[in-house]
This record gives sequence, C-alpha cells and structure tokens, in this order.
Amino acid sequence: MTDEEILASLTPIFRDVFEIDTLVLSRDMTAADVEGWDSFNHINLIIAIESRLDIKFQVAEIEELRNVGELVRLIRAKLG
Amino acid sequence: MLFNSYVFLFAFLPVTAAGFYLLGRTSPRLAVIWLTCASLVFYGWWSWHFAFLLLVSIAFNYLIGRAILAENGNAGRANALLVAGIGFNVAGIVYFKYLFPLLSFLSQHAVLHGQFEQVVLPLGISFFTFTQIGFLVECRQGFVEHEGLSEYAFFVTFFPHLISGPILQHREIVSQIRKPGTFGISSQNAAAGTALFAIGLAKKCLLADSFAPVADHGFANPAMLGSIAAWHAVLSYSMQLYFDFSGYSDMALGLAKMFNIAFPLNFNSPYKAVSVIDYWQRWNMSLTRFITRYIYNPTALWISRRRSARGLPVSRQGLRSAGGFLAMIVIPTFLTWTVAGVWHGAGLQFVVLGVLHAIYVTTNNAWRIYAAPSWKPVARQLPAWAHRAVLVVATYLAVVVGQIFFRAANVSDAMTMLRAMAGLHGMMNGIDTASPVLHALHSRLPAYFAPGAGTATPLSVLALFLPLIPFYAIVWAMPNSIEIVPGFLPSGMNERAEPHRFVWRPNMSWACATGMLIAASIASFSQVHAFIYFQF
Repeated sequence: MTDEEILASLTPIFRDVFEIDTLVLSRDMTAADVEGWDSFNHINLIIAIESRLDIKFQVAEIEELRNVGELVRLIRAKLG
Repeated sequence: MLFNSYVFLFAFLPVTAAGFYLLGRTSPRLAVIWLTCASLVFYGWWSWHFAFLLLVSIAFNYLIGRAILAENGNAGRANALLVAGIGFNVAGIVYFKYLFPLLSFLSQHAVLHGQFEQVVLPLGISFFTFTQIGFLVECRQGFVEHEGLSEYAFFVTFFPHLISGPILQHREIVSQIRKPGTFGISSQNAAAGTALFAIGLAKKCLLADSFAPVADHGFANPAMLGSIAAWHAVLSYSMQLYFDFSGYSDMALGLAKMFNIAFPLNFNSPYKAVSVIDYWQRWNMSLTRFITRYIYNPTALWISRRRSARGLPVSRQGLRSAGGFLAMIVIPTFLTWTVAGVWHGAGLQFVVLGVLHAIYVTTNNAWRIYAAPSWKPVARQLPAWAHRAVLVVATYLAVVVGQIFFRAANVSDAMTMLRAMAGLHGMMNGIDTASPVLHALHSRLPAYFAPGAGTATPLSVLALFLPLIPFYAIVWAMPNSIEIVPGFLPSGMNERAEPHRFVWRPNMSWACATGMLIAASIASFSQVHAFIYFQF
C-alpha cells in the first residue's frame, strides 16, 4: 500500500473514533490538531486501526508517534 | 535538602554548577559523575542510610536492566527478568510505604494482632521506583542500546527530579548527556533556568506557603467548620496544592536547564482544564505519561485483542455496547487510577482518591461516547466563553473533591469536610478563626467584622474570599510559567508550542524581576515548609 492509500484508509477510522465527519487527514497533523485526541483516546484509535487494517502494534511503537505521517510510516512498514 | 533553603541556594547549587561547568570542559564523563555524587549528597543530606538504600536500588536495577538487554532475543527469559525486576521494585515500595499502614489497619480491625512499628519512608521512593520500573520496561522494549553505570546512576539520581519528579524516561535524558553540547556553559540556558527557578521558588515560598496555615487549620478541625469556613479552607488548600506543585515543577525544570538538560513538562495550567481527562493531561503530566504507557495502554490493548479474537466488536460500535464499554474503558481506567491513587499515599483516603478519579474519567468517557453527539448542537447555542466557563468550573469542583481526600487525615475527616461544605454543620461556625487576615480585621474593626464564634457579617465573608480572587485570576486567566520561559520536552500528546506575548528574555527588566523574586523568597526562609509531594 502506498502512503496515500494508507492515509485514505485511515480517514474513515479517524472520523469514526473522534466523531468528526469532516476530518481531513494530513501527514503533519498532530494530536493537538484534532479535538478529543489525547493520550487516553489514542489507544482507542490504535485499537480501531488494528481491527480495521488487521495489523498488530507493539505498545512501544505507538508511544513515540508524533504525527499522522509517522503513523502512516509505521503502518506501511507493518503491511510490508 | 530542600530547594527552598539557604544551604541549597548559597552552597549546594553554586558549588555543583561550578563543578559541572569546570569539569565539563575537559571530561563530560567526569561532569556526569560529579553531578551524580552531588545528587547523592543532596539526597543523603536528609539521611545517609537512605542514600545507601538508593544506591542499592540503582545497582539492582542496573544489573537487571543489563540482563534484560542481554536476553532480549529470548522473549520468555526477558519477560521473566522484567517481571522479576518490577516485582522487586514494587516489593521495596510496598515494604516502606504500604506494609506497616496495612498491618496497622488490619490490627485495628482485629484481623491481625500485634503492634506494628512505623518504618521511615525514604524520600522520593515513589518517584525513583517508578522511574526505574520505566527503565526496565524501556530495556525490554528495545529503547536502550547500551548502558554505562555512570549514565544510569546519573539518570536516576539527578537532583532536580530525584525527590518529586518529573518521572523521566531513560531515552529522553541519556540522549542529552551523550551530546557534547550539553557540557559547556550556555548563558542562555543558565539565565532561562534561573528565571524559571525563581518563578517556581516564589510560587512555593510566597504563594503556596501563605495558604498553608489556613488549610492546615481547617483540615485539622473539620468538625468545627460551618459551610463558609469549610469552603474557604478547601479552596485555600486547592490553591496551596496548585502553587506548591507548580512551583516545584518549575524549580525542577529550571534547575535542569541550568545544566543544559531539558526535562519534560510536568504542569500545564491544570485548573484551566475543560474535563477531568484534560486535567490529567495537565497535572503531574509525567505521571499521566507513565500510567498511560505502562498500565492503561497495555491493558486496553490486551483486552481489545481478546475481544477481537472472540469476534466481539472493538471499534466505536464496541465502545457503545455495555459489555464493550465495561471491558475496554472501565477495566483499564479503574486499574490505572486505583494504582495512581494509591501511589499518592498509604491510606484508605488514597484508595478513595483513585476510585473517585476512575469514576470521573469513566463518566467523562461515557459522556464522550453516549451524550456528546446530542449535546454538541445544544452547546453551540451558548457563547463559547460561557460553555467553557461551565466546563472549567465543573472540572475544578470535581478535582477539588478529590483534593479533600488527598489532604484530609483520613476518610472520616474528608467526609466531615464534605458534610460541612454542604451546610450540614451550619453556616457560620469557625469563620472567626478561619484566616489570620480576618482575625486581625476582627480585632481592629469589630463593628464591621463581627467578633465571636458563630456570627459573621457580610464583610467578614467578603474578607475571607476576596484574597482568593487574584489567585483564581492567575490560575484561570494568566499564561503559565512554561509559556513564559519555553524550551522543554513534550510530555504528552497535544502540547503545542504556543508563542506568548509575555515571554522571558535575557534582558535587564527580567534580571531585576528574577532577582526580586529570589530575594523575596529568601526572606521567607525563616518559616520553611516542606513540599507537599516531598515525603512520597
């Protein structure tokens, strides 16, 4: 999967988890840009991504994610 | 040693800083060892026995960490070592902090018999235990490449964070001491660090400590208070606790900056929080980071994977169902916050504190999932400032209830205080002795500030609460010290570098302000109060 495809598949997940129907993702987006994205909701996002994209994250991998771009890169590495 | 003491300001700090700058020119390694030794002196000032205990703890964790790194290829063995390491750390803190209160409790309730001697609690044990547990997990997770003993000892003992945090992550500190740039004198860092330290010192000495007598008096005799005096004592305490911990965090970050080390943020205007979840992203941020990364996330992830394996929904739909909400939100939340509550102290009131916040966070999550969609259009009818004000005040009051359990001597006193606040012990009792200011006014102007117990004029009530107003202005409306003196590591997820108009600059006016703050603080040293998070 390309980065664009990953970004496109993440968009409905983000919209669902944060209940923002009009959310548009960009690679430099951070938690500060999305209402409700805090360190407790973060794990809900990760759980939703695991379930929808059928991948597994390590707790350590999700700790240091600084923005959506890094998340995309991590997912790309996992999808092979 | 206390930060707010003559020996620290005039002897320890200058000598340690001078040694660091001088040694740093020739050998970074010696500079690190110097700081470690100085930090041990700082810690051992209180009791050299416990400095010895700290060294034992460091040696033990260092060896286990090395063993985990060596065995990281073999998951079974590495995990066993990790569990053993965490177990020993927890056993240590249980022994010193919880065992004897627990045995006394059981003995009081006739479950056990015997007298149980109190054990002296080593300073900062809650902090350096958590810090080292974090290190062991980082070793297992692969965040530690190689580790020298001098680096590790420095990481644990570095005096700005040793006693009351922030709870550091190994990788954020070690990366800094491996950079040669850390070991020169940076006048910018030294000046900024001093300014932040001065602000913190003033918060502690001039603000927090001025509330202490009022809060102490109220919490010592909650049964004597009517609702006005009870609210006054509780609100005063909420200010004392805020400025005490805020001041401490400022001092810790400022001191580290003098040594060119950036600490993670620990305190970010928590009373401005619009929800309890937001509050925890702002109060003791390094603790929230620790419990989220090492308790909440692993638990939530494990539970959701088990649900997935059994074909149960785990996304939003799953959270909406009662079973899903219970499994994926309630269980991790209660586990995490009970630990966080109990970490704050040994006593039933800390269990209550933890459970209370677990209920708050669960309610917050439930609101987000079930109620927020229908509430949002309603909320948009209100002007934004009004909506925000309601949220801030509601959050603040919820937090204050928790603080009552944190401060009260026991659960019974906390309940007495709550009943007093609700007006069940009358309204006017205890006003005359509630505050030194009011007492002075009583004696000088009895016509306006009615004397005697059990009566009060409106002017008395005003005199009680008026002094609190500037502090509410500070905590709710002013920029905080990190916005004024920026340049620290992010601690959570949504910190933005908000540039503020009122930013510190290394110029004459700031130098004068810094000097005056330090001078005023030093003037108060004759009545030193230890930090609230001190004996932790």
